[in-house]
Amino acid sequence: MTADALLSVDGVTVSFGGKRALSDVDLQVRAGEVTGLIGPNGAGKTTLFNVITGLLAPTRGRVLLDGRDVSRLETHRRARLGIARTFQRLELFTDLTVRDNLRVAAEIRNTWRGFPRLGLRGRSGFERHARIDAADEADRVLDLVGLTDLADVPVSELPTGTARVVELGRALMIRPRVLLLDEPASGQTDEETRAFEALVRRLVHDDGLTVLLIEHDMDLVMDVCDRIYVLDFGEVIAVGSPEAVRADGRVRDAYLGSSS
Amino acid sequence: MVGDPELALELRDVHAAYGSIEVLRGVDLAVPYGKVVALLGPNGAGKSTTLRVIAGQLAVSRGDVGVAGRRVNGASPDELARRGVCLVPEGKGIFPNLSVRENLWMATHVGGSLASIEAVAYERFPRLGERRRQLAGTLSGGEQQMLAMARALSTNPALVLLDELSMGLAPLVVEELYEIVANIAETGVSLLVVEQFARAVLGIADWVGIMIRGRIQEFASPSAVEADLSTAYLGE
Amino acid sequence: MNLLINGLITGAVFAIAASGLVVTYSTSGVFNFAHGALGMLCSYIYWDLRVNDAHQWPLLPHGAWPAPLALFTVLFVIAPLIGAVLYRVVIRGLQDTSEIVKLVVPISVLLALIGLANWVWKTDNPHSLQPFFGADHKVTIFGVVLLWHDLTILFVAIALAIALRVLLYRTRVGVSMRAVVDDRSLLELNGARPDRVSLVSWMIGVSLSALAGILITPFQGGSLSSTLLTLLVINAFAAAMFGRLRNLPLTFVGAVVLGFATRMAFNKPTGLMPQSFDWGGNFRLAVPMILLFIVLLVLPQDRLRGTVIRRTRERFRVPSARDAVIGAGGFVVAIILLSRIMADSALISFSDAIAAGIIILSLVLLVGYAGEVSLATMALAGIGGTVLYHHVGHDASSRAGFSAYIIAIAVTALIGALMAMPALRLRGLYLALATAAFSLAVEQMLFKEYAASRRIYPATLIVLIAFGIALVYQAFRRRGARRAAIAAALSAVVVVIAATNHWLQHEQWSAIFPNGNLQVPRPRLLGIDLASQSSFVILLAVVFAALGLGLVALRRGAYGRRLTAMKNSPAACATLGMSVVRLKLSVFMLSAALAGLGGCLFAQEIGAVTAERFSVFESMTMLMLLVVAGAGYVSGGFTAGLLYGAVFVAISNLLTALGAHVSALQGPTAWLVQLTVLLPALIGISLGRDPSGFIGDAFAQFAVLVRHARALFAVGVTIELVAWFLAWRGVVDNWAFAIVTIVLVTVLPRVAALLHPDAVTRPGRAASREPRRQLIGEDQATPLELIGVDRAFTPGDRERLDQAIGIGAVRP
Repeated sequence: MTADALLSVDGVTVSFGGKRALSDVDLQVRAGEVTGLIGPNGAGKTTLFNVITGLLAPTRGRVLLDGRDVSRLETHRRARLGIARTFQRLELFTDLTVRDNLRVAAEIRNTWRGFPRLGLRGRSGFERHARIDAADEADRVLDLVGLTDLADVPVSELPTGTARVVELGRALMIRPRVLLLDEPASGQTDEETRAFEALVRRLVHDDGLTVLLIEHDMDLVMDVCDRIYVLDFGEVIAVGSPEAVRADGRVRDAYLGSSS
Repeated sequence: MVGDPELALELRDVHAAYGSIEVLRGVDLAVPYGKVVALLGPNGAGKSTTLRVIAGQLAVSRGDVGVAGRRVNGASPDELARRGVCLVPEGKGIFPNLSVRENLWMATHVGGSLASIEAVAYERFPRLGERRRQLAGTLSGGEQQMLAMARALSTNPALVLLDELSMGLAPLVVEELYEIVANIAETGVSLLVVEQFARAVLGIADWVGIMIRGRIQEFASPSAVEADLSTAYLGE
Repeated sequence: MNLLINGLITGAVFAIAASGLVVTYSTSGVFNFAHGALGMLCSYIYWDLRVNDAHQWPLLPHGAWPAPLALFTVLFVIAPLIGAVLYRVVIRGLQDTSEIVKLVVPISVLLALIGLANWVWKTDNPHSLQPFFGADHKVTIFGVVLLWHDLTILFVAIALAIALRVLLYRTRVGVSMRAVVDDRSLLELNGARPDRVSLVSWMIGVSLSALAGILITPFQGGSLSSTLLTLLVINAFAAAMFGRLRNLPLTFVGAVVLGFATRMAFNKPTGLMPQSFDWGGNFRLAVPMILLFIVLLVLPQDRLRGTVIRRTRERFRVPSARDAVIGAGGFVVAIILLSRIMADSALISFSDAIAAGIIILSLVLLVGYAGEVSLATMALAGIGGTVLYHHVGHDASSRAGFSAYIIAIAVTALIGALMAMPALRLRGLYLALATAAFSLAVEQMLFKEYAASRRIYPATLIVLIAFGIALVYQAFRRRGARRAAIAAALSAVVVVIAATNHWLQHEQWSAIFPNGNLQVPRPRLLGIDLASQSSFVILLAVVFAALGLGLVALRRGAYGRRLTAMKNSPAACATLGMSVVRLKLSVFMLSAALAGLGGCLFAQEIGAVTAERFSVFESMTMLMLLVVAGAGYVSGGFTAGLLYGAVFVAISNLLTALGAHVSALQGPTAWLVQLTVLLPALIGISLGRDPSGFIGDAFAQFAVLVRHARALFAVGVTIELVAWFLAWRGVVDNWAFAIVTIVLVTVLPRVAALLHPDAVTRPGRAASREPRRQLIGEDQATPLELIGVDRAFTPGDRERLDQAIGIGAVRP
């Protein structure tokens, strides 16, 4: 296992009633990089996200964050250790405004501190997180992602492209170490996608965020990713730089059908 | 308005959305009688959504859908099915907890007797005949697709919509399935086929539409679009 | 042997009822809370035809009918007809609504049916059904004497199993019913109409529930009981849960297990139980509830799910802090002024309403803010009242102090937490049913039992065993077999200690509900005696206002935002690091505490409070009224309280008075009085499409009056005050005051809306009109629902609208 893998997935298999959604998937996300995860529909990409965040228990396999096995932790414990995500089918807090969507995330973060961390092998005591001023932090992040003008709009009224930015902002509120983005560009216009790309670059370069990205917009993937995994039928069929992946015959076949 | 009697299917400036997510942004498309049209394009472009709109599963928010020269906006899926629109949905065209025979029985809701439907289905797919009492959910993936297609074959529909037949299947099985699709096409049925494996359908299609971001970007003959496909899927 | 055969027969009845429940739920996705109530109604109709000589059904021959004819008519004509009408008129429209509406509407049907049966048949009077073939035809099998009726039950259950099998596998409509369960939309693509399939299943379902009701009554003593038959739905549900509401063979197995368990409770206890305790009476009735509770505990945890996009969704506006304070102050002042002019009887029902409103506030928090659901509100309230009663003392001169309330609240909160712990893993329907089961168990085991000594012991053991099972199960799932073994050992030790504990078996425990009702003393606080009605109503008003303010503050604060977030998307909350279970637990406790306090005040308000006041049906009524009014609003809570405690009482009093004065109207008014009993349930049934309730819209109108038509508002307030003053001085009577008030409240907002048409908005939309337009830009269209709101309606919009609601296709 590479030493600089911040997040790694180790031999994960998921079966739904005899059908394999993921088989023996290995994946490493290096710190400070953008790792892409592509593949045809039904390849198991979102399933893998659910496994990483703990929303779905794998049949076999482990998830490691910074070398530590988090497989048995519940979703919220993993979030507290620094895994955040967005959703392909938007999961915004639809009764709240844009600002409150971000603010409540910080308020949730403020409840983290002080709970005894029992039940974790080898360590005990308290996890401490500095309390943050939720409202200030929300305004700061709104500015960062460029949503200040829309702060008081109920999110239920936003177009999809903007809503995806809100989800990104909300995920940033808990100051994650690794951020999983699930099809952020779907439903966005070209301009929105370009702005989004610039934002992700900024977060990675300036703030040292690590990103794992599922995306179908190949222009975005090829531009922004350092490394790409290609998933097909629940298996990793290719890994490498954007150029290498694009040139890979198996990838072409996965998308276009076998060339025979 | 739509209403060209020469066309089995006609879409004019069709818009549709899931909640606030607009997926179709002005689709124009036509399927002439007895022709096979393939709809290709990257994930999330709106191909399956187009089929769902035609089958009445998703409401059109703007534009018109015409089947056999009649505007059918707002008709319910069962109404459309009885009018001869047959959608084989992606990956789940069968009732898994019903036997093969019972699955075919459900096809009689559009007319025809179970005996005649069974006769056609088992003649074309002898493997289904052998397994007529087996639960459909326990069939292999290819057999399940055959069962789903058996409905399209045996009920004489006016328009067949196939969504990602190849989903989750091995390439050899996919080839076999598309041979059957070609057979269906020869009988003069109008077909609209959505497929990710572009190469599987290029051989049988009369026309190809490439769909990107909720619009048909290009509509041409199969040979003309082949070169552009790679770009559409994998970027420039 | 006796146990075996009787258990089997009991199980057979449960199986008949449960299979009907499974058939309807799996094909329509709506849980038929009224399943038992429908069977109850049909049983009474059967009684009418079979037993009642005097029945006068139109079109049908009069006089008592022979059993086969009556049975045939009920099972194959009347019951299916009821099922078909119910599905068409009520259930079909629920397909796309929110979960809470799917719950509340069938509950309303249940309440309406109880009211209807009581109206027509006076269900408190005895109605007896003889066993089929009479009580003389007996056989002895394995030494057990059985009536032919008992054998009939067994035979019918077996025949039913075969008939259902044939239906579901050998007929097209039956196969279609299974196909609907598999994939509703695919069945539609096949050209079938899933609606018709569901319709057939509801016809069958009601028929089966009628069959169960008619069969079980002679078996359980022969007297029709509207309550017991209605609650058959819980037994049926417990059995159906074995098959997870889908699998019929497993449902039959579950029914038999349940039958044995219920019968076992008839027998003398053995083993650890001291011989002085019998299981009889009410405790027996709680067995299915306890079993259901355990089944729900062992169910796998509900996965964290995201939002489901639905066509209708509730939407609540959050009041500003300033509005809330003004509202609360105005409320207290208004109540004080009103209490000065009200007649005693009116004041009492008005106070009842406020007390009920306080209990309902616990539901505002739970349902409106957190998006959870509970049918145990009144059970918790009852616990609060009971604790207060036992803490304060029982004689007329005693008064409750702060400490009594605090203890009552604390105990209720703890019990609420205990109830919630297993329920936390559930949601929606299962949560509602689990809390209903809890409520029934509390009712049967505590409230209905006058001699506590016999109950405390088994109740404690049952609770300990249930939680032991839950603990072991959780430990096994989360931490593996070793932890589970440790948990099992610990639980066993605790249970054994409790079982052998003499203190629990103490014969001197005082009764929980002595003589069936509690004389709960009123409070003396800060040296002020609040026993009189006029002072107690002020306390109620102040408490309600304070709690209401507290809730608004909560909703506006970080905790309220977290609740909203959890309600909107538990999955997203968890990925942000929220412990959803912990937050749920806290809100259940808080809500229980509110219910406990409300229960204390409610019991004090009523004075001599009976166990029926805390029944699950009362909880259902409250939930229903709250959802109708607007679950997300404190004012919705007050309105629901008014409806619950005062409005329908007032209407029926008014009608009775009218009938007494004008003899010509006596007939119609008596009829209308009966109708008012049904009215709340009928309102609940018609709720259907708008889960936001009516309060939000009412307030939006009122806001226009207050904000934009200040002069008009001031005039209105002045008129009202003058009217009050005149009423207070006795110049005009209270009716005049009431009429002036009603006219002002209904007319002024409308006038204001006419004067300021621009200011009228729907809740939650006002703030965002400008930014929205920028966002959408030029090429994207205004969403349909905002046409006419965001921009003017154009002829072109008509076509879009037609398309959207699906009437385009029928045009030439």
